[in-house]
Amino acid sequence: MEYAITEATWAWLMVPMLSLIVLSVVTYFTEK
Amino acid sequence: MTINVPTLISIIIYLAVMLVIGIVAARMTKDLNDYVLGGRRLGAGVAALSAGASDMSGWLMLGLPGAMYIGGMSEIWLPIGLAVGAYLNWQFVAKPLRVYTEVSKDSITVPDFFENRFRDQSKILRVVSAIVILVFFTFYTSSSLVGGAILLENSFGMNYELALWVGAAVILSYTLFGGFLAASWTDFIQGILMFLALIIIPIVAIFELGGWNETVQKIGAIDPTHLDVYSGATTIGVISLLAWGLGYFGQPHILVRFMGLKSTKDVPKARLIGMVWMILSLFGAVFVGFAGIAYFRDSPLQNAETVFIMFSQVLFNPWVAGFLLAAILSAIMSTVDSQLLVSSSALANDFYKSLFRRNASKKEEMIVGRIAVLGIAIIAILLGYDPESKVLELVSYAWAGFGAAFGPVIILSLFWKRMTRNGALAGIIVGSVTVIVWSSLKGGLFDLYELAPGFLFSSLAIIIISLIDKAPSKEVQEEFDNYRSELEQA
Repeated sequence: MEYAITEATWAWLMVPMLSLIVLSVVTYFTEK
Repeated sequence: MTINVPTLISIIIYLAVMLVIGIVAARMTKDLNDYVLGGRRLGAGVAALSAGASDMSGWLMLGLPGAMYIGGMSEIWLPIGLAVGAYLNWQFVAKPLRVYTEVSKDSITVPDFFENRFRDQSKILRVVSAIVILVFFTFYTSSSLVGGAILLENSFGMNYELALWVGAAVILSYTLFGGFLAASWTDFIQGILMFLALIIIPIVAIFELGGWNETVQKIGAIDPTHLDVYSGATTIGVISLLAWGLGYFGQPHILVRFMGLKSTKDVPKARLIGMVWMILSLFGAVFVGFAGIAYFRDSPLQNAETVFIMFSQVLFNPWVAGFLLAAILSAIMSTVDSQLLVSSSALANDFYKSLFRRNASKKEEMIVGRIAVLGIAIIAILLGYDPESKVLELVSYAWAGFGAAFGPVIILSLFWKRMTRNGALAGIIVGSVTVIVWSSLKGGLFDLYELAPGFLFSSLAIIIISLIDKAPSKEVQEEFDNYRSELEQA
């Protein structure tokens, strides 16, 4: 059978981390 | 294993670079202010990586990949909690703390700031917070040194006690004379090494395994629960892991990086560099452990925490293996040097200078600062002497201790004008006591990581006691207004 990382796992792994990087980029330009 | 010459040469080159940085920094360190806070001249990049590397101990290279190797994707809650906490610290504490510590009589340590912020004539706030620093950091530093000694023992076949002394001597070689600038500049180099190692290993390992999809298939075939974030998760367990992020606001070795910034103008850039560094490093560590499940499937590792070390030996030639070993040493050393200096400043600045020798000469201050670094290092070594001791388990305890004792006090003192000295004192004491008591109780709600209740009760204590107390003096309130207006002009 074909194994895959569950969607919930991808969501928990990527959403918080990428949000923090996006926030850091956005605040860099707004507060620069 | 037997150590080979290329690996040893790589390590020696790394150590020589650290020593050169220490010598340059020592020449720029003229007084206690330089020694403790580098004269507030850190640029954005150095402050960012120094905060990150001081924060991330050997756990990033050993513990986190090891946990992933054992538990798979259900171990990602802790890195998520840490990344969120670090971001909030950069966003809400960095700039205000940098401005307020300078406005408030140019405070150079956390206890210094507490005393000046509340105009505490009694010295009690300074003494209590300096004691908290000395107690928690001595154990914290000791556990880091033990981690380094175990690494040297396993990598070079060195005797454990000797490895403890050698590890400490290497750190002292640049920290003792170079102070805060040496610790921060070496942190910068060490942070880059850690980052590169954590990016290279998982990429090469996954490539060797035949690509990403192949890796996932091999792991799924071993145990499909490794692919699910919820496997084995309990509500209290997940909340406990995420709660680690609450600890950031009270860690003195990270807060001094904010205080040591050259300008608040550098904060947005430092925050961006710091977060990209941290998140990519955490991802790297997560995927080192994850790839390890597949790579070592036929001969499972005896000790999961060696997954990074095993990869460095089987995937790379000895020169690169030496560089990767230097990266692990970097993670350990960058944390120990910063913790030693904060502990030293608590002794030299907050006890010796403030209580006994207000008029000490610059030379005398510096000598005391250096003796303090040496003394604390020796105590930390002696604490770690028994390899069976539980000193390694004290890291979560020390992290919670600082997070609960200082975190709420730092945040509320930056944002709440009505906070009083007695409120601050209550917060430190209630936070520390909650952590100590909660961690010794077991079962049900008491299995929750002690940092969460400690942080909550400390915050409540500050608010309740401050409101019962009479309002702070006019002088304190005016200074608060000055700091806020300076912050808003920024």
